[in-house]
Amino acid sequence: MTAADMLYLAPLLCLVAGGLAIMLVDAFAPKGPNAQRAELATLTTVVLVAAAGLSVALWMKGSTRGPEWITSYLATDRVALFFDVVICGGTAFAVLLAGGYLREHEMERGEFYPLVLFSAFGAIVLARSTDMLTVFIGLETMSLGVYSLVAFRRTSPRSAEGALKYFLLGSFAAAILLFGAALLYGATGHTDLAGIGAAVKSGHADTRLTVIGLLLLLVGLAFKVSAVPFHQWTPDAYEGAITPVTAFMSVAVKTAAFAVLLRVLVVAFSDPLTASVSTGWPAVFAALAALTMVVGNLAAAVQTSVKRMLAYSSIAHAGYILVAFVALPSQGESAVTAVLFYLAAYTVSNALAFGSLILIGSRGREAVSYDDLAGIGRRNPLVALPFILGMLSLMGFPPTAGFFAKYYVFSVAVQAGGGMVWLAVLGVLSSVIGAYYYLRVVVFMFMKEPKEGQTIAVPMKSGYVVIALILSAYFVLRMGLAPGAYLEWALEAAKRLV
Amino acid sequence: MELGLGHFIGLASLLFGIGAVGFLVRRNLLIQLMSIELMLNAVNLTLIAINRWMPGNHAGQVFAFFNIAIAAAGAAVGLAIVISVFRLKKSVQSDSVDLLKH
Amino acid sequence: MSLPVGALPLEAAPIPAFVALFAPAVAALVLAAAPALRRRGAPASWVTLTASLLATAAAVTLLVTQLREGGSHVWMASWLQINGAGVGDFGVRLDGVSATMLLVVCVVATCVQVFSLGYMHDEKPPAFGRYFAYHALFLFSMNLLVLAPDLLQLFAGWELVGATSYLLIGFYYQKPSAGQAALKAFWITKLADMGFLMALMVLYKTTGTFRWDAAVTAATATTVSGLLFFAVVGKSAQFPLHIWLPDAMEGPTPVSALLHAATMVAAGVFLIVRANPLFAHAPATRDVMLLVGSGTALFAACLALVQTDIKKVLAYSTCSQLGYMVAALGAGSVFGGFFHLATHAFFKALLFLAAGSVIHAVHSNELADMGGLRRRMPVTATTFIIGAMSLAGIPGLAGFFSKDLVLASVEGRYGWVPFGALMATAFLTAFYMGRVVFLAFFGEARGHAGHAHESGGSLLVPLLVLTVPSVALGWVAAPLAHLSGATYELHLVGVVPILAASLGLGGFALAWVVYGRGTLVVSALAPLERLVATRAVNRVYEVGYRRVLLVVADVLGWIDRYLIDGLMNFLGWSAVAGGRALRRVQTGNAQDYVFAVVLGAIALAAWGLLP
Repeated sequence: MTAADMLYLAPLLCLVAGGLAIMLVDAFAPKGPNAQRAELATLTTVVLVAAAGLSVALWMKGSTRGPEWITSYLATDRVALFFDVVICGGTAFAVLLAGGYLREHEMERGEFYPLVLFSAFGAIVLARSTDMLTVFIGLETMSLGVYSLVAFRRTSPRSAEGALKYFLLGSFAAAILLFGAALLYGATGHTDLAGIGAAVKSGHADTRLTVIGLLLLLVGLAFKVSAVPFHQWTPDAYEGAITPVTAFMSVAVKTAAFAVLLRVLVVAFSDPLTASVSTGWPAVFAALAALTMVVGNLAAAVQTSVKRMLAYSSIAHAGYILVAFVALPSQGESAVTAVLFYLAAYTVSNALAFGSLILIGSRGREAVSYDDLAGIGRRNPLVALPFILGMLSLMGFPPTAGFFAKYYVFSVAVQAGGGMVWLAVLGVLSSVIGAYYYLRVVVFMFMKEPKEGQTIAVPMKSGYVVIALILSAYFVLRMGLAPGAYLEWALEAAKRLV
Repeated sequence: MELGLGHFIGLASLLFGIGAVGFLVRRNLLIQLMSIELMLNAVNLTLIAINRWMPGNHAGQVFAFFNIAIAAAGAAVGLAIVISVFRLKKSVQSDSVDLLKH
Repeated sequence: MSLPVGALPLEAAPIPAFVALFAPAVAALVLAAAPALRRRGAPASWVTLTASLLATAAAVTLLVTQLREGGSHVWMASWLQINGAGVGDFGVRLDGVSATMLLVVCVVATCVQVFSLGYMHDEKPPAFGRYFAYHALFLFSMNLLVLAPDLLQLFAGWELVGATSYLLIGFYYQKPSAGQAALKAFWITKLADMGFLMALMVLYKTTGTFRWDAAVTAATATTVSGLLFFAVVGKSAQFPLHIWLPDAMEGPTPVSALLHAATMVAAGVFLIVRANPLFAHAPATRDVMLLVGSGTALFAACLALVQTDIKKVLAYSTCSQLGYMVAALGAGSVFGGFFHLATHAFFKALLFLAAGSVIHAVHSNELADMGGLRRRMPVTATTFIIGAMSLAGIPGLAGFFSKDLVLASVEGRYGWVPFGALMATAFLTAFYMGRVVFLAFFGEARGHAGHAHESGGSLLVPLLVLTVPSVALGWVAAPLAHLSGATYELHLVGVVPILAASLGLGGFALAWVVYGRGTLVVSALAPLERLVATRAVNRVYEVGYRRVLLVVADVLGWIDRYLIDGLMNFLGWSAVAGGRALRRVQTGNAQDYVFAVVLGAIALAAWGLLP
């Protein structure tokens, strides 16, 4: 254990140190109505960008092979670094949105930013974990922060209710996951993923115990990625939380959950027995993916609240990503690439969508339902523009990031061939439903007038939100018009994992 | 009768099941929190028992310690949320909160 | 940089190609980025019009070059690379097909824009500007599609024209029906587009490229072409996905002329022409195309008979004529399909614009509100009648030549069934166009028609311009065929052309008997009039028209409205019903959610433990 070894953990240390420092800044900052308020959002964004920068530097450095005492718990490979950047980026978007939102809605309290940073730390630990122990620590560190963030609006019964449901369901699912991990430990004698993988491959493991352990583990992780039928907390928690927190959950938390799912399956369960396409976990994932896509899209189509529609849409997108998981055993690195690219594209598209939703409302005039959006496109076209772009990207319209993301995910399923093509067809068909409800946003913004006597949403003014929107719009277009570089990076990362 | 690993795993599964059923049938939030603790302790029992029969390393015991620590943190956050719900609803029944649905 | 074999770097592409592609793009960007300019209305129209004229000039230059030099050239810039291998390219492909299509698109678009200057004049300046901004975007998208060197770029153009179509159908967003029609059109074509997406995936999986001329096995060709054809069925309004097109008439009439008659809906046919190397290896797909195409032609023609809205008649007629093109391509006559696309683009745009001129004058779409307009609007009437005759296949006019080519290509296939259907369609086409002509322009004026005035210059000039190709395009079939690498021989004497011509004339004659009698009579025709008035003819009319044709049309109309449309509505309804059912599952009670988790876990465990 040398000081040089610690370099591999630099992004994590940066987040922790930054979180602690911001707690101190907040504690010593002048309080009171007229005091000069500390720009905590700026500080937090700087910390996140620094952490992402450190990950990029580690990527550029070449060798990503860390010392064993780190890699046996936390990965230092390029997949880990890729997810560092996506998670830090997604979190930074959420923090920028919060910077505008909290001030506008007069709930700017200092604890928000350290909570976000610690949660992001947990997300990165989760995404990097190579041992069941770190899976659990990362999961809980992330989740405990998010539970508190959902409950952040203390006067709102909806906020408390969302947090309560999320907490109850989350703890239950975590207990199931933990029990699965314990059974796997019993079956293989290992808690580290590589050890479990080796034991399963060699055939020494108790098959029955392994299967139950794996399935319980999958239940816990499917809960976090909100796959149907483990998804029901999602719309309630997303709706109850303040919008920047919803954005955080839908990008960083979801990315981390998919990251750990990817690593667990690739490292520990890629042996021919458990990864058999017809009888192993790919079959489970095929069923989950099909259910998730259909249910997510159908439920999203009948919502009256835009925020809730976006919650169900995030479930539908989880279904699309799960399609690529089905192709994991046969397609290897191209399936991993598809997942990585999708998560990156989804992060920027969702940041754009939620950011636009925030920008459209202001204190007391928040935009929640479709009706609130009526006519906003003609009153304030500039505000509506990013929303349209976000919707197009989520819909998968070329040339936006979402198009290529969806294209690659479905095309790995087609390339896997055999029994998986139906899944791609189902995905493609169910995403047509998406065209309907995403377009409704545009219809309401441009083709409806507010009803008589209805309060209309008034756009807020915030530099933070505008910056977040410009950046995410840039990436949505950049990854749609010239996705080459991003695909290269994803592929570069994927090669090391498989 | 010699106690074997199977007995411990059986007992732990039973405890886990009792916790899960308790979580499902009781409407009181505090009891539901306790049920979750029961489930987590069933896991700890499994880990420690398995470690007893696999003395090569201490992974199971270490894991159990971490679980206990994290469960405590989880309970703290959970109770805070329950208190926040109680303040707004004057109730700790889990079916008293259903504003968010459909 | 690795470019496909035979491709030149994009920088070397001729400048007119860039102009044709990017002049409209620049116009669209300028109008998007400068709201002040757009909201003033008239300046926006000049920006778009300048771009369209530039693009048209460029298209002319390209076609002339192509006529002189021939061959096919591809210029590309590598756009998307993975692992050093080029996956997608951006570029320009120039050959006879794309040069011709480009000119058709640019000319029709320019005419429609000039027409819109007058037609949309009463719109408020911001709406007027918005309208022209959409037009610039449309022209760019369409040219992107036409010049695409591979299927990926074509798909990007394909989706973009779909989006512009959505914007333009919903242009009168104050009308709820317009918003609904826009959504319906977008949704159905989007559903069909998924076939395109799947085709791209399968093609890439098997060949590693998106090129339509990649070497493929017969099985791949059949799959890819079948999936592409599904997309065509949606875009080119073929049975049973045609239902969005009549609804799309909610858009402004010039939009119907440009998008929903001349160019966008023909993009599907263009796709088949482009991807012909794939379709050539897929006899099964082509058989389906032949049947769907000829079936749609007859079906839509029957429906056109009973429409009372002049735009709806033309909309069903468009479905029907697109069916002709698809049938020709299914029969293997690539040039036949493409040539009919070109002539149809001109005469159908002419018909729509002339109808727009009428609607502008009488403020109604209903044939019942027209009548006798030939005296009040002579130019409009003359041009409309010329367009109708061209569509009906009257010898000498453009439609005659292309229709003849289509009919000749399906001769003898499938026990003459498609041939018979298309022949019957030729007769019906002449009949329903005759009906519109006689009802709108002859007889007594009804409703506001008595006060109608001839439209102004900006409406009439495009009509006159479009009349020229509607009349004369048939006579340059040979050089056009040569451009596309086909051969064309004019044969006026033969069973097919004579039969087709007499059916066309017969259809007009019957329409005159039914709708024009008593108003068109001049003394020279008096003996004919007496013949027509005999009991025998009356009887034929009574049985053949009232008892058979109208009944068939009514039955088909019922099927269209209740079965096909109903099926689509049912699909939409069941999606909503499914969503509603799911809402009930989401009770709001946390414990119910836990039940779902437990049930899911038990289901997984049971699945895992059962052998």
